[in-house]
Amino acid sequence: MRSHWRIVILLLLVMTLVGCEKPLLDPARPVSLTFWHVYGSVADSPMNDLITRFNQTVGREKGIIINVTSMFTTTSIHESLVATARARPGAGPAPDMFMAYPRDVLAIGPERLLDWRSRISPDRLGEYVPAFLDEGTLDGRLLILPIAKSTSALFVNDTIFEEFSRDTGIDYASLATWEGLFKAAAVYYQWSGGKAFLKHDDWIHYFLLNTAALGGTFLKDGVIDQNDQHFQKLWNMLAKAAVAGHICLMDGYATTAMMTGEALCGIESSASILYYKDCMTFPDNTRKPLRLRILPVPYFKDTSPLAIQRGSGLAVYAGDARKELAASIFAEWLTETEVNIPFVVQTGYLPVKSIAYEQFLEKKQIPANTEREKELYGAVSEIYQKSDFYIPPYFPGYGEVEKKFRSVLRKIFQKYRKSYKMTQTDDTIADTMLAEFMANMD
Amino acid sequence: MNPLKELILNMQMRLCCLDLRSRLYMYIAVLVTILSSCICLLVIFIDIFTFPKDAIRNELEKGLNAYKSNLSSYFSNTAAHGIRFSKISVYEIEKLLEKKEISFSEIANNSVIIDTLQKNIYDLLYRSMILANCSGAFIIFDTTINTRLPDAADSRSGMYLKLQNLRTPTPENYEMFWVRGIAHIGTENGHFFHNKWELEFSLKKLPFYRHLKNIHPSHSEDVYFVTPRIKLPGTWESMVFLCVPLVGSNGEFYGICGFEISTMYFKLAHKAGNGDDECVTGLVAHRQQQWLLPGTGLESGSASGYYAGLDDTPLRVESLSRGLNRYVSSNRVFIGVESPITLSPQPFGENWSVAYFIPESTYTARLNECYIKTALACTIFILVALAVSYLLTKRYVTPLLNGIEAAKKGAAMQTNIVEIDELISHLSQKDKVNAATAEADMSGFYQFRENIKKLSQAERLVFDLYLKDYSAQKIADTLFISIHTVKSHNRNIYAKLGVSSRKELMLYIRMLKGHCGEERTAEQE
Repeated sequence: MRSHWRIVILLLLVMTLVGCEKPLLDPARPVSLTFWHVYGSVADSPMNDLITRFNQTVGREKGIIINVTSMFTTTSIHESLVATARARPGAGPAPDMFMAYPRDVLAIGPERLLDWRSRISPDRLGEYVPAFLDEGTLDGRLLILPIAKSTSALFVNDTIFEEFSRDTGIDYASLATWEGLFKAAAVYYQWSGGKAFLKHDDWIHYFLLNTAALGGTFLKDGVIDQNDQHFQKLWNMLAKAAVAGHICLMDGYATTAMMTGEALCGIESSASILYYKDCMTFPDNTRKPLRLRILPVPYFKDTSPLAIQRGSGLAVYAGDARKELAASIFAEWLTETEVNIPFVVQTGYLPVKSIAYEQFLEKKQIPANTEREKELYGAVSEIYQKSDFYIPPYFPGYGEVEKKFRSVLRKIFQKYRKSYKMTQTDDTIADTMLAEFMANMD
Repeated sequence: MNPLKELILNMQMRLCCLDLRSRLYMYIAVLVTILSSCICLLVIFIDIFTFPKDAIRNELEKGLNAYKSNLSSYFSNTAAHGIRFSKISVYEIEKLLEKKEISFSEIANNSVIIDTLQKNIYDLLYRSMILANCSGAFIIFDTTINTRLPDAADSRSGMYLKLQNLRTPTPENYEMFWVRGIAHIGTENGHFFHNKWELEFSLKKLPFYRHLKNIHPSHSEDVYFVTPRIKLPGTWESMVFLCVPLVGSNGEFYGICGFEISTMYFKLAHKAGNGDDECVTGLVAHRQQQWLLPGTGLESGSASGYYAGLDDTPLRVESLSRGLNRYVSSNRVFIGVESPITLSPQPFGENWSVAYFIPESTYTARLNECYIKTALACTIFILVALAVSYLLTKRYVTPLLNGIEAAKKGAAMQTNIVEIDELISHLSQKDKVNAATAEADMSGFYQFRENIKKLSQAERLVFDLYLKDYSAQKIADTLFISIHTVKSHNRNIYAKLGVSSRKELMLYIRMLKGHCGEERTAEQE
């Protein structure tokens, strides 16, 4: 009799325990993941469209809601992440998921993030382009999962360039090298009555890529190596052009400069395609259509073309098993070839899985719908076929170096542009500017 | 001695002395107390007194009231900032017109005046936006910089600022996009240009502009208008605008100003409920008969991070019992409550409504959870009741059974139940008396049987007939003697056999018959 009681009690306990153990994901009680991303912050956002699609399909079926709570630039996300990590006043809560570069991970602490290898099987990870995974791996932990990779491209206002080319004989082939581009910039300045030719969103990339291509060193132990002869060459060419007004020094992005007619072309992320309007607007409110020509970023003569590998990846704060699982489901869905390829074609990125990547470069079944998408897709695939990858360095504090570089460079160039006198020799002024620049960078 | 032990011993002693009624009463009282305690605990645990649907409705109504109160207060304060923004703008416009000695209608095509006007009002625009706690601020002048353009009739000069990063609208991160306005004013004030920047506003995309233009000047005091949601062309963003007319001191219409409340800003700044409300959605939108129109309004999720992300599909409202509504779209269903809200005064008071709901799947899951808890609680209650009953019964009956068993075996055993112990004691005493009485009765019978031999022959004849159950008269008739003679024999028989009455005689005779029967049976065996 006593043994019967024991069996009954044991059964009751087992039933209770089985009843209490809930699955991690429950469609009736969905888990919400807040997400900061960078895709289309001030334009139509294909990422938001994808998130809506995910929420209405896989998310609803499995009980996952992706909630976008911030969309802006990677720089802004970096600053906000650091602010939340340091609990600065007004920083607000950190997101569950965010788009990150290695610099962001180093700034907030890699130990706080999920190692994707703990949630995605080795077989599935084996489908990704290994170089893209390597970029997100820190100390053997895969902290940044590639979603889409980008590069830089030269966007030219074809509407005006066509006229300029007709009058001056300078054609697109001239823009293949930096020497040709700086020469075209000087001619354009005269032709346009004093307008800048080029706006570059990240001049630090100009130095990183070209010193590497020329065989020099730009950053030595995290500090600019001003004694490097290649760096000095790059500096002199840029400083002379900037101070002479050939380079656009206004704040903001190249897209803005081009849509207001302040610059004829811009070097920026291939993903900037999202942000281009289809017209320019002038001060009297008249408009002209803005046709775009997209070209590879120039390189210096006698060097091999290098393409910068850009594009942040997906990082997730670790610690909540439900959210980790939900994030891995979302990430795997997002990088499926059928989802990833239409997304990257719309946004100017590259797919991240080997099969999709090859399909992209071989131009197979690419759903480019608009003329701009076709133009961009052609340029990006050409860049990747003819160039070698270059991955920007990352080390603790790189984000600060980049930010300071950008701000000091603009400040020095703007200052000397205002006080520029034709009587000064260009070499003298370039040296003076470099000295002041280096003093400000210390 | 430990006071607790002393108390327990004391109780045990008292318990030993309890009578049956008190003891039974005490056990039942213990049973009732334990079961009642269980019920109370379970009731507290599952809140069974409140019917689950009522509990959900009460929770939603509470949330709705707080949400609505927050929205009313927010829109009222924003409107107040808008009215102040409008009044100061009008003052600035008239000051400039007076200084330049021109009328408002003369500033069209005058890029210098329009430039000055924008410069003069820029600071006000910026400050108003920060004070109003919203995602953007704008001012539209009822004029254009170039009337010669084909779309000039729908083009209006103005400025529009909006927050760059809505996530952290703190003073530290108050960077703004220049969305509309003269380019160099945006640049000089350090603003990044929005990718969809334009020099002027297009009225084709702002149908509400003419609503406000047509207000009669006498009704322009404290008038404002909250627009239905509008999509910013070429972007993912959509927003509602709180618009206030710019009406001059002479009643002339100068344009409108106001604030932008974007969907993203709203969902971050006006969370519905608290963190405990896992899947709650707050929605302020137009209500048209049985339809609630999410595409016209603003939605926010809960502080836990949940956000339903409704599309523009209208929600059909169906009334359920207990004051709940069912909101049905083509592919989603919600359960919630709703209340009308006034966002704009007349004549622009649209039919706005605030709804507060959860997905039907969550609602069903919560009900099921409650039902499962109730069933589980009942099961546990029954099991506990059975177990307690068993233990109490065992504790109460065991001493009784032991006492009875012992009594059967003739052993004296204390049950600690006074009545039972007394009964056993009484029965034991009675057995002893009965045994003694029986022993005494048998010795008389044996004497009686011996004395039969002392009877004379005549007396023996009479006695034998008594053995055959003859009456005195029948004996007289059988022996042909008188009744008196029989009686005379009887007296002798009584005397010789030692009996005092005929009743006693007959008793012994029956015993004799039985005894003889037993002896015969024993002999036969």
